[in-house]
Amino acid sequence: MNNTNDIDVILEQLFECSLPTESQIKYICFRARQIFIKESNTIFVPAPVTICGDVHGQFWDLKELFEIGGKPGETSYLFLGDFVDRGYYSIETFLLLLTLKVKYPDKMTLIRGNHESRQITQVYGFYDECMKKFGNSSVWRYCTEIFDYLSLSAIVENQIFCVHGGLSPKIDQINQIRLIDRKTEVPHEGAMCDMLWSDPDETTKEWEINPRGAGFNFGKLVVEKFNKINSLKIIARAHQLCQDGFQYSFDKKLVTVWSAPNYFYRCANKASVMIVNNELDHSFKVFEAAPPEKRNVKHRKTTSIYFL
Amino acid sequence: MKNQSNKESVRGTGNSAALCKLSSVQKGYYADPFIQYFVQKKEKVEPIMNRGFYMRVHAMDRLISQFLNANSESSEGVQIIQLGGGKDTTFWRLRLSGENEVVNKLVWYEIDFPRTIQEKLRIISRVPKLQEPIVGWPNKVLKKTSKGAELHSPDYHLICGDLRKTEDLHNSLQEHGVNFEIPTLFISECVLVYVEPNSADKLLGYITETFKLPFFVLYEPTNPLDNFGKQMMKNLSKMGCPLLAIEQYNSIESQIKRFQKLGFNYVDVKNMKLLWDTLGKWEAENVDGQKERKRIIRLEWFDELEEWNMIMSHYFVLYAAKNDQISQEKFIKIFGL
Repeated sequence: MNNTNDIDVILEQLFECSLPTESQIKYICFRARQIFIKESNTIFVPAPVTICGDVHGQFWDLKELFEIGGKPGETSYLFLGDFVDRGYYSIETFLLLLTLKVKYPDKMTLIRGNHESRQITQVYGFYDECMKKFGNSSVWRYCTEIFDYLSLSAIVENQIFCVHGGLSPKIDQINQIRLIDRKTEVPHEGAMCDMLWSDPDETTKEWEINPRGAGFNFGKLVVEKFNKINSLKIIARAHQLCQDGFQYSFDKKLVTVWSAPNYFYRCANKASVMIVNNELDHSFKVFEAAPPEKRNVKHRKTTSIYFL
Repeated sequence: MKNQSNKESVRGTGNSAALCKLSSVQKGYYADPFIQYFVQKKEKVEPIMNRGFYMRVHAMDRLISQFLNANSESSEGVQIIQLGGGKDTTFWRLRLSGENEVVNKLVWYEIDFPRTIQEKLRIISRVPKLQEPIVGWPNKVLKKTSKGAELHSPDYHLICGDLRKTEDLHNSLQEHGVNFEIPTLFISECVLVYVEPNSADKLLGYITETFKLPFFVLYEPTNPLDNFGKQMMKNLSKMGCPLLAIEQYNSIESQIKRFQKLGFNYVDVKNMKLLWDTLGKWEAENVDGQKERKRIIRLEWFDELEEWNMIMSHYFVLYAAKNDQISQEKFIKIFGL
């Protein structure tokens, strides 16, 4: 890849899974920051839009997603975070989405997931991938700095609330989210942490401790109340693996969207995207992992993913 | 290239296990001062592997401990025969812990591929700490055989062998003083699953026919039939270490029947997920299960809950015995989890 800062050239090469140079990554992050800095903690997104869940560095599966969801730039996309970690191509995946944001700022909305964090990326692979592909931590630093600028949530036409994890006992009304200072590493507790870490739980009445160690488990009463107070049709979130690509909870008052098929090359699950039309009706397009012939595999982890 | 078993890849699974165990130890899940000597290149291991290997070692250790306790009255001592032990360090950990007096009456045998045994011997010869408990090291214990160097000390034997060749195995064991009459625990920690089922069954049948008081502990993957299982089969085949026995014995129930058919009259099984879920509810001596579970959860970020449940549901530990002298109830009580 030559060292141009021409967005179209960088985009073309990213679509081939070609690794950008360190200076190109710095430049893209700089351009993206200028856009993110103007976005509020809850981004207003017009319909129609295609909502996507976790992609976790699975570059070739992201390309599958674009094939079934529609060309970026023509189709409006909203990604619910967790772009990095686990998969072998976190850098290429995140940079593709970031460059698409720079190229089509009104057609690509990115919000933060719990993996867009300095701490988590040091455990789950993004940091190691940066060190392996660049020999130093600069790219990791540029990316984790831009993570701090990512918005926390989105709302589609005031009716579909979108967040990576879920709800917080500190937030009853959506406009309370505006008060959060989001330009920080994901905290260990508090509203911002909860939004990125919480999970719905059909067996929970209201709030319970989340076994992940951050955020809460929230139940039916909480969701009914939140949807009513905020006049919502449904909550769309990601964060939890779904075998069938998506999963409704609480009589369809909440839905989980998951966009990483055969997660971590091991879970054999399907993935999906949530298509919201002009009338705010939604449907799901389910897809599977890109077949081997479509994957140009250059890097492979050597440690095992099973107990051998 | 379905089911092409590559010997080197199968041998390599031992290196993977050692690496994951070292990672788990270094993260503070459990103690093992010896595993570091058996890992050449340290690589990053994910939390799910750290926790999974902690549970694996925990289950194996508990069952070994219970075998030793249950047979502490054996006047002529006990034996442990580890099939395909690889880089396992339990021999040293048992001696270090000093928990069980019966360890003084324990003779430990390991049978593995010649190349693995040579590697293990090379490592022992470089590390004084590993040599300490080996009586007679090195001159009295290192023996050259047609298959390669072996180690034969009064209570520790490293034997070059092939688990598919039971006659050779029998000759080796006999030659090196195995007592077929005393309580003997056989361990297969992710080993027999890589062997063709007919060969593996032949070995199991040999054990119950030849040993008077055999016990068996088996830790393996199971259930190749659901999506996760099918993917696991595909991935492992690609890696050259296909699970040859798992299609014939594709469920926990079929494994129980297998062991019963091959002569073990007591067989019990625990799914690893269940073991984790009940970690807070043990009644094991000196172990506060709730406290232990909390300690484990606090060790590191763990964002793989769904995968954890999936992978743990696909592994189990089985313990069996052929013993006419005790009841099924008593077997489960003293030897069960």
